[in-house]
Amino acid sequence: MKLPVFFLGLCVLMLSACGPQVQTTKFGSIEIVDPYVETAESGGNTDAYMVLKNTGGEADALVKAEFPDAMDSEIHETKMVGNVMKMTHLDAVDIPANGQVALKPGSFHAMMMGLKKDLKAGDKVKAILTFAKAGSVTVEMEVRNP
Amino acid sequence: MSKNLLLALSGLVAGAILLVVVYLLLTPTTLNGTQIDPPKEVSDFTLTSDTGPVSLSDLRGKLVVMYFGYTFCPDVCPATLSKLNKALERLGKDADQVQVIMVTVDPERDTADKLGPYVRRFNPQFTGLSGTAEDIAKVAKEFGIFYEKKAVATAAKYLVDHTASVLVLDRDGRISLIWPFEIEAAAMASDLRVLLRKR
Repeated sequence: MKLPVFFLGLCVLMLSACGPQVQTTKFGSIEIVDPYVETAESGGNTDAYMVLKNTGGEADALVKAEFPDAMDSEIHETKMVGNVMKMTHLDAVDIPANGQVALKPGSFHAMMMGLKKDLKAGDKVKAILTFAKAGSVTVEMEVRNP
Repeated sequence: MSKNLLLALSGLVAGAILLVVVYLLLTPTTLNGTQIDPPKEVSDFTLTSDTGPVSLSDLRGKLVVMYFGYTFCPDVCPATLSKLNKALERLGKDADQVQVIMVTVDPERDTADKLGPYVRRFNPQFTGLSGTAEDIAKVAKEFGIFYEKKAVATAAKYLVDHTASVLVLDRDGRISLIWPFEIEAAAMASDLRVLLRKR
């Protein structure tokens, strides 16, 4: 009597384990994990976020993120200094050897400037990411609500 | 008095006491943000929304949640507006007694016509306020908000550093609470409930 319940539980557990997969793009020794941008309207700006893993023994860096759907793009870093939000322009985001760096709200981000169209939740945008050593790769980023 | 009646009465009393205790335990009385006590009086101001001028004095009777930011920076501003929306969702019907206002620290790029639709994307009840550079500077100073334009040699042309804290004004338009940028929606909603109970 208890066995079917046990199996049902096991099935649920297994199903939940294969729930939504995190999008990962492997590119040489660089892994681009869970890239996404936030919803925004045409003409406005938005940020792209992702985790960059470096499985190699040599440090690399994200030096450019280009978006066909935006007029311009820049890499920025947001830092909270006390209660003040300070944003600075960066030439590159370093990815340490055998390490990782997260582009996330309140930290590093690639900003899409002057959007050519509305970005709605569920849409996909293309990004061409250029790394100092690994070179360029195109990834699709999901659009999500902030 | 019969024994049964006495038993029933004492049961009722015990039940009532239990209810009060549970109510007190579940009702937050402490604030998560930094309380300004006594609340700080501020002078009235009038800025421009895309539907016309808005004065702080128009909002007497409501709690006013004020945030200073700019739409060009799609980082901490959307995060804050999104959290404020989630906090109001938690309040349910009581959200009617709270007005969220975003004042731009970049009036050059954020005209009222641009700011209105931007803030309503997060919540249709949010108000976006712009004005002349002088008016914005005056309001920011009055509310203890720091902001500074920083030129950059890229397409962005300039970025604006700014205080990312959120101010909560009581029903009389006095600053009574300050939330740090890191605060979560649940803590905001809890604080708003505490302030709404004060009459």
